[in-house]
Amino acid sequence: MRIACTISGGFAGLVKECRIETASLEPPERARVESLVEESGLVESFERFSESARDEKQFDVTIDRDHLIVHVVCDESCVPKPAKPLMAYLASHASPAR
Amino acid sequence: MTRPLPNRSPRSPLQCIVPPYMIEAMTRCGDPAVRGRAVGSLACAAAIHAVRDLSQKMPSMMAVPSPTGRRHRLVYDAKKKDRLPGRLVRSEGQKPRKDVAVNEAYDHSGATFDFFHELFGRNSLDDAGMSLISSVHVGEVDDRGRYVPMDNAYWDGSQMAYGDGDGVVFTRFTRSLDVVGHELTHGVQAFTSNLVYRGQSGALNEHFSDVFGVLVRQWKEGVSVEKASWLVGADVLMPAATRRAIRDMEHPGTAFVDDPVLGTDPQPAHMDAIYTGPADRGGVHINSGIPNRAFVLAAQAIGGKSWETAGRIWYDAMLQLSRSSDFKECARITAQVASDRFGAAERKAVAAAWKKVGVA
Repeated sequence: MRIACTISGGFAGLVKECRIETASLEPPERARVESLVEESGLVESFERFSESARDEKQFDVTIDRDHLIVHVVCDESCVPKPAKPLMAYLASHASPAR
Repeated sequence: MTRPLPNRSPRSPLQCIVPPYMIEAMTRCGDPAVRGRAVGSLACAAAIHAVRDLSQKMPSMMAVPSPTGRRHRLVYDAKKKDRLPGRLVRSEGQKPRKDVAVNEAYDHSGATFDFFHELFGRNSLDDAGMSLISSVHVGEVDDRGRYVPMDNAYWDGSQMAYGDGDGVVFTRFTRSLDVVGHELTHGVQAFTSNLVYRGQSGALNEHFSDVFGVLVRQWKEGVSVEKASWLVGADVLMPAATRRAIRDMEHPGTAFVDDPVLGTDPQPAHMDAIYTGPADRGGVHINSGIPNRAFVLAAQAIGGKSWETAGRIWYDAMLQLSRSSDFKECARITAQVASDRFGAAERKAVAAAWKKVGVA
């Protein structure tokens, strides 16, 4: 499984990126990531933004599971509740974009 | 008498918990019970969408009116959760609490109200006396599903929300008067130009919030343009040699450099370097550096106190812009307002400022 994520916006307007290839992770970490993806319920692509909110963070996440690709673009208030831990994991592993 | 707010969670609306494609799939399920619940959810989601659309077109329906028609602040404690507004902890006229974030939100939203009222005769965000609602200690979910302090401040369409920061890079967002002024100016914009939050119009939305956020602070300090600081969010960053602020309106792109967590400030100072990618809704917090610099250049050329002339020009322009206005239109309207309200010298200063950042 491959995950590519860009986190941007928020009051600070930072742009951070994260790329994860589960095959290269240690087994416990690999299991954790796969579990977070499974529990996120992200099985179909969508793009959704709040019309009235300002300064929320934006998530652009692509999950590639054996070429089955899900692409999600949304702001914080539109992250499905089960997907919030996955987004938090990706945010904690993201680095400033070059 | 303070009217209690309904406990709502605009950041986690129903339609966001279960994605619509899942509900739509459930409507095709063979089980009539599942199908019935899915149809009900779709109807509910449609109703929520309708409310959301209406609130975007008519933000006044989201406003909680002040019982006196005058300044009315309500501060809530979200208790490290993301459910807004939380528990009411301080209302207008009540004495300070022991919680510093509560008092900061109260005092800074009061200063911002006074700024718009005294300088521009504006009665709150909607110019009709709506209450200023703030939630402090707002939390967010971490990667293990636990609540942690939010690393952000935002306007949700009807109120302000402030996190306490991670204590490593960010501290509590209520500390900064310019951050509070920024968020409240998003509220003013919702009732005026309501610039679409994407691309150049979105960058103007961010720009006006930065301008009036900083002007509230300068006005409160009483400083003239020669001594003014143009840093945004300096008070909410933990000190480090690689960061001075979140943004520098005078020198966009220099607020933080090679910071291990923040990276390097991505704001351009000129149209030559405008960001055209998809991140940050097309760079709303990135490209605001261009009009921010134009404002500072205009204010410095005009002189005096920034809020008196440059601020007045920008306030009038903010009211005249349309939802889809771009940098060029903003340049045209600010120059026109400068000429109509003040004179040729001010018009020249404003036009020259925009030209210097590549907008002509």
